[in-house]
Amino acid sequence: MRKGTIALVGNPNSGKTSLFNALTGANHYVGNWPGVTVEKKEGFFEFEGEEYHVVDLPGTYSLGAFSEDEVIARNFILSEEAEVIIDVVDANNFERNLYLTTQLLEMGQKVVIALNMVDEAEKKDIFFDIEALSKKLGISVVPTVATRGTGLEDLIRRAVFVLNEGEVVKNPLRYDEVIEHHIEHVEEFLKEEELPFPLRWVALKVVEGDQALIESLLESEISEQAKTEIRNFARYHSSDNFELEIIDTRYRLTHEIAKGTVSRPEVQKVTLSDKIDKFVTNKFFGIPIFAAIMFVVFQLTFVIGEDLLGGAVASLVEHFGGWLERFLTLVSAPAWLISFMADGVINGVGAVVEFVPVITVLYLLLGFLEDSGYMARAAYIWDDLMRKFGLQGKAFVSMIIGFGCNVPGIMSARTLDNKKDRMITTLINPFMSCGAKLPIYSVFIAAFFPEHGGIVLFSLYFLGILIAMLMAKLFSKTLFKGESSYFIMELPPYRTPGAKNVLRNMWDNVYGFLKRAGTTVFAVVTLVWVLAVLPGSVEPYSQHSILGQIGTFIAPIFRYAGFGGWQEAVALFAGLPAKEAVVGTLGMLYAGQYVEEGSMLVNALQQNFTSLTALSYMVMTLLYTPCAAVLGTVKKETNSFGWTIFLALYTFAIGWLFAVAIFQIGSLLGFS
Amino acid sequence: MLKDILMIIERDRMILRSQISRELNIADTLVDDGIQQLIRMGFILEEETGADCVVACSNCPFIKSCQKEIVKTYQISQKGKDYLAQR
Repeated sequence: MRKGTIALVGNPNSGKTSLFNALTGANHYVGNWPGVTVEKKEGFFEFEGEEYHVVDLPGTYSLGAFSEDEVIARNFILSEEAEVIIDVVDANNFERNLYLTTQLLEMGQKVVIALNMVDEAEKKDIFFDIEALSKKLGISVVPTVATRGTGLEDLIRRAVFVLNEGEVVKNPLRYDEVIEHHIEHVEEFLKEEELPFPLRWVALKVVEGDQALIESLLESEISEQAKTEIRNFARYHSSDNFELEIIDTRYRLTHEIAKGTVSRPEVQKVTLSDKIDKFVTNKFFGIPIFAAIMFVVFQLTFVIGEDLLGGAVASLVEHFGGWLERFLTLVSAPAWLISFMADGVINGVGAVVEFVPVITVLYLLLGFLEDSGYMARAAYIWDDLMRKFGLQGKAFVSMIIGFGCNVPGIMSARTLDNKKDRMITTLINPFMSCGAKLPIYSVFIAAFFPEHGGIVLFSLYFLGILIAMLMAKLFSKTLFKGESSYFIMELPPYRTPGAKNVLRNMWDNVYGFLKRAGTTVFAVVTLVWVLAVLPGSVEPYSQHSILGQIGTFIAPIFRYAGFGGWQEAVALFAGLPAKEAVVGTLGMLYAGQYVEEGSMLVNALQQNFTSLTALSYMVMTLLYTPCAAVLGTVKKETNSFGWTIFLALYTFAIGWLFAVAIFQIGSLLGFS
Repeated sequence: MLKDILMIIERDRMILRSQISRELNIADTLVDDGIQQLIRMGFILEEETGADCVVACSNCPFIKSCQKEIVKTYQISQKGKDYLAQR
């Protein structure tokens, strides 16, 4: 004969299931709650010759109606199937768990608290005055360690006592005058009704605006007059924010209960994270610190990625190319195939693949910064400055994403909530140096600025940001006037970057780079190769080939920028489908023409460019028309061919202007 | 507590849990709960900053790096602004 039912309720991870297992041992069974897939655990235990039924309710932080678990727990408690509730409270998260307790008391239930995991709390120097706590709450509080069975007998004894003889305690919560007035008002028009739940709780829920309960009341058997009153109340007070006041009062109560009943070590007032933030997010030091960090990143990228590893990979690609060419000759492959494989694939696609170490190191370091929590600070410190340029700091998040690839950078602009910010962010994102531009910078730096790789790389990235911000200012003063909206940024605590996250971030970018090299770049290089060897009657790769003639036609555009050769012009246009193809095309067109040994492309560039024209060419590639994928994304996001064409043309014009300015001013100053 | 959290967020224009926790003398977990409650009640709107390319760019080589969220951002909703203005 079962004596009664006890329900276990508590927050997730409060040790509720351990307590259930300790109470019931092997005497339990698992089913489902009716109509849902949530697991229902039931069991029984014997105490002093009587058998008690135990139900383990789903773990929940509150008893609203906002999740399936909350609804199941709430409905079961209100069904009064359980004669007593054991509220399992995690001693390590006392105040948070107590929020649920306040709701149980409001429901007018018989409650006993199992203050669980007190052993762990004591290890953290958290101690409880059980007697004072019990007195403040008006219910029994029993310290337990469910995993060891500590305190279980006492808990059962108290629960059984409350079940048999205990009374429902007086609800300790009193709200402010306005809320209490409304509760009384609702109680007044519901007091004559047959309610399924306690009157005050129902009235409180109506005032709180609990839609699930209001709907169930409107569908119940209560009088039409009461239903009308409920509807009117909900309508008149929908914007009164009573829910906020009610929840706030519950939290205040938990805080007051904890005060004087719980002793814990003083919380460290200023953490290491705070000390770091004091400098890192400082109004004056923040941006210089960001610049210094990025400088170190680019310096390491170049030193490790290019100087230490780049040469080895380049040598590997060249050796493989030589071996492939000898093999194809040995098996008497047709001349066109040998030319295609050696000049097209190896010198074209291979020239791109050589820069995998640079990409790897850069994204390894950026991943490290992201996972440490620093990048969120970077976006925060840029907010003020961005605002001065007519944007909001979240645009900087899009810009950071754009450092990987401009496509997601532009797509992330859709989260900006006004059109002005969205459009400006979209139009300036292509000035961010994406991963595809890195091989172009790297090869030119290796050829002309090997001693200053880090500073040149850093300057290019910053020039991109600077031009983006200047254009943002111009657009916000002309095309897109209006205020930028404000947003709130979450700064996560600093943490040691996880190897898994950092390596995954790096691999995702390297994989993307390799995939593009094997698909888009390969296709572009193949097309360029075909145009470079046709017609068959002329010297392949010469100015008389189809490609040579196209290049000769467009090359004059770049004469004032210092690189008027047809190969350089063609390479820029080959970069429109994918920027990596600039390097691939240069690698193929210069292949074997000027170089005896060593890094072929680097040596070829040294014979075709000067330091000044190399700089001008790098700035052109940094700023000019973005790749086809970016243009496609702009079309999709703006739904306008007009803006897409505008972006393609204005970025080209900006790139050209800066390239010309660098070359002309540099020449005037005597640089070569 | 919820009102205080909302006011601090509005004042600082950022969410730094440790700072809110210290200022209000409450546990970090309670700050978390408070923010979740404010979001649920519609005083704060949670935003997505990671680009959503799943449908449009299933063949994009950068799809994996596209969907990450570098920074978590929020907005105070009109309901939140109205509430703060009343106080």
